[in-house]
Amino acid sequence: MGIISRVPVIAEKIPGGAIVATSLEKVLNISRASSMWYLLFGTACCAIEMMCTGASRYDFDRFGMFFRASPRQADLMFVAGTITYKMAPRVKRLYEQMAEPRYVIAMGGCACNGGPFYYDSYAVLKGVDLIIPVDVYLPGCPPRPESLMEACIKLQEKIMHEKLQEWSSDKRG
Amino acid sequence: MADSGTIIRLLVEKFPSQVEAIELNPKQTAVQIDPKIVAAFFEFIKTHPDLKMAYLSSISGVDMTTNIDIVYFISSIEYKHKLTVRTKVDRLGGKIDTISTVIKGADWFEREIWELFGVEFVGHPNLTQFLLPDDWDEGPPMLRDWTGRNFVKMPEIGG
Ligand code: SF4
Repeated sequence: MGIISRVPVIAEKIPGGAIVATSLEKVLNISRASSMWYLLFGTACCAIEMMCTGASRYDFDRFGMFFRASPRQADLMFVAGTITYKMAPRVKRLYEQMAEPRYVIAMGGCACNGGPFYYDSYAVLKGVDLIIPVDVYLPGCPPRPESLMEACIKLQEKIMHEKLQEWSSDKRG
Repeated sequence: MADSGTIIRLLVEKFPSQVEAIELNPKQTAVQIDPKIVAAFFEFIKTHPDLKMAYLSSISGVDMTTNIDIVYFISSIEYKHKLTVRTKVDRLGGKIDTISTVIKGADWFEREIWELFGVEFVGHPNLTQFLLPDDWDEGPPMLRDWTGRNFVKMPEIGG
């Protein structure tokens, strides 16, 4: 992460270096966006819809996405389901265990803001963005597989616009 | 299989004035019992040869605002009859004897009610933090007037 974000700074001093830097940026972004491996993690009903999207009818594999059962190998986390206060520290820990760059899609009403459990609940966290940064919010209860794929396409668009200088999690907007 | 009338007759004979039948629906035999006799009551229905009720499906707590109702759902695998047992305890600082000494399966149900309603089960082997978050210190959350940890009350709709 450290070296790659300094490439543009060094390259700009060399004649024609900017072309190298932007091409490198593009290649890296394409390779990132086309192989987002997601974490096999779901806490409630939304996870069923996530599994369905991963299965053959909707076929996530054609986006280069398939699940990894370990956070160390995952780039993307779908927060698929209700996050309770008891679960919250575990979610945070899984997120922190993922290698950078890491992305989060908050899937379903529960993960966006507590959803159906917003009122009169002693146990449900009111939005996963209170504990980890979220890239794409996906409403629905549960969202259809088509919407989940739309969210992934949105995330791919976002990744394609990343700059080399911003290749570190603290600079990500 | 003992029918509803027989079950209630047996129970009332054994514990006169501490057990009374309550009407729920024709398929469900239900009795209200004195909280002091729970352990003896469950011992009796478990060991009586015509009842043999040892399968505890669930224990519920209900906050009735004046008191807390503890409701036991028990049935007999052998005779296929079932019984609902209701009893009342105080709303704050309520105490009742454990039945986990008679029926082992009651252990977790009682622990859950202790945690969510604050009812103490006297003689329970392990009344410790169970389902709530590890750092929970805001009291039993299932009481109707509980507020705490980012609790948002449902607004009146149309009012
Ligand atoms: S948003 Fe709806 S479907 Fe998704 S986890 Fe919450 S309740 Fe379940």
